[in-house]
Amino acid sequence: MIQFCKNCGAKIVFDPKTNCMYCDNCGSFFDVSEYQIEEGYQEDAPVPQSQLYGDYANPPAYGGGQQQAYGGQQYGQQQAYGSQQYGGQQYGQQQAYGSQQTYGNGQQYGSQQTYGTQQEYAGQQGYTDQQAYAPLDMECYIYRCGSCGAEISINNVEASTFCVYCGNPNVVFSRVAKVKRPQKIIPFSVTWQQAEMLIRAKVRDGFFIPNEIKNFRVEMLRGIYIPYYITCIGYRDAMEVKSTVKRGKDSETIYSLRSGYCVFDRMTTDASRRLTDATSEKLEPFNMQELKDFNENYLTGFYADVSDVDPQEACVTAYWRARGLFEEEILKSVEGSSKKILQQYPEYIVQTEPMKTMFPAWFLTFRYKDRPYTILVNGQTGKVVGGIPWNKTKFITLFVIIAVLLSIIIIPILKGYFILEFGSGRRYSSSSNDSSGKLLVYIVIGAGLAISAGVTKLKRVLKSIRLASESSLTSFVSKRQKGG
Amino acid sequence: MLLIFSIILGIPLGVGVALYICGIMLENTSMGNFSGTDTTLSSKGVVITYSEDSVGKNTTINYTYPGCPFNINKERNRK
Repeated sequence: MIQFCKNCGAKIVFDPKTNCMYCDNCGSFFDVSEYQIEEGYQEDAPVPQSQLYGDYANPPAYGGGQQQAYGGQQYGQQQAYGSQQYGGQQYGQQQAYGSQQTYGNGQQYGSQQTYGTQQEYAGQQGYTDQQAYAPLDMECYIYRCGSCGAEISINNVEASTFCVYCGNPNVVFSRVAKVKRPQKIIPFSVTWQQAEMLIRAKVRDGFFIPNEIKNFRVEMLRGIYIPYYITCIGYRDAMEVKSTVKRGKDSETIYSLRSGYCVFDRMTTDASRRLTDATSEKLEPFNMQELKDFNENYLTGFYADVSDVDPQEACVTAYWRARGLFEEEILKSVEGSSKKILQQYPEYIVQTEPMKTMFPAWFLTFRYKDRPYTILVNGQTGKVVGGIPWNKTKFITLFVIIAVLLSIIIIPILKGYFILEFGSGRRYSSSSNDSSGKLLVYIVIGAGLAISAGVTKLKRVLKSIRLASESSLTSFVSKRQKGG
Repeated sequence: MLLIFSIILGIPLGVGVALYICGIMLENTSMGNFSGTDTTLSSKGVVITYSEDSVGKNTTINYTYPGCPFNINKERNRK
């Protein structure tokens, strides 16, 4: 969507620093609200706010007759249930999510993917009076990468000559599309210059990061709005946990029972298949207090990823994320180590249809040894995420040097100790024999633990790098390249 | 003999510590993990309604959730 300066007529963009619309030509600033949506989109009549769902800031209480259950499934027992006829899906059997199910005021949702008339849909989503006049769809100029197939919407910026996902210079205009308007948005707070400084500071600290990456081209930095869903999901679980505790010198296996619930009223899941859930989770948390009603003016000057995840899928992702967070908290309350959940009975309920939003992120895409890598910066908090390549030769060289130096220092110390303690001709009492023996055992155990700790640490770091690396982000890329 | 013993213990110690140090330095290459908690995505966080330690194996699990603000299926038949 293109907006023009009221003073000089040049194109204007949203400025994250001032939170206003800014004209680079004449230096004018305008409030976002000064640029209204075109009249042609106005609805004819006001739409009443929904009684059932309310707005995001005041979610309705759970339970009771009017509450619409979005789902209510028990995993594991494969029973489908729910207080309303929505969902009833059984995991593993891949049933259609809510075919011919109804919710709300009898609007059909599910296989036909209709939300009733536009006016009724807007009312049920709890739009404010102002939003009730807003269109449900918006026009986007979609650009497509010829290499990886990624599609992105460009808003009042120069079309990029390279793809923000795979870095290939093969981006062409595809079409003008109507996409569903998000309900909320977190505008950019971190400017382009700040994002560059944050990334430079982060890569500068990486000892094993290749110099070519430390000197990245800043023009490869792009601001993108990523589509997200915010789901209000109630989760509860009852479980039996097995753990091992130390009782003096012995260890004992104990069994613990825990039951509890959690209402995740702002569970976020990304709505783009190009960005893996693991990567989008790393970008979080976002400060939800800064959520604003969606206004297309916030998009000007930035790219926007096209949403290709439907709400049903978002609910499933939200369930798994809720379950993981819940289990993590429960296990913290159980004493001991080597904790394992032996049995559990998870249940969940989704209160309302997931709310579509857009969250800001800066993307820096570059290629190293013919592989694409992406560093992301949270456009609100400035958190830097992403796995970047590391110099393996440098790592091995440094490791060998440190290992040799440490060994050269430790061996004479140990030899001196052994000569003192166990040298020939020396008489010992039985008590000093015991303490020397114990110390020797500790040294042996210490050597074993040092190796174990070093290997464990390295494994964990390598796994983290692998998960954050662009192999997962670009799995979509290589699949498309191979025709998958 | 003592020298051999020193070498046998010294090398694993040196290698292990070197691995750990290099692992810490490499960790700077991996950037970012979800730094939130259950209260980041939830107003009140996880509420534990029942807690019991050192029970027998396969003890019957408590399925009641007093204070839980949502119901799912009251007639659900549990094992």
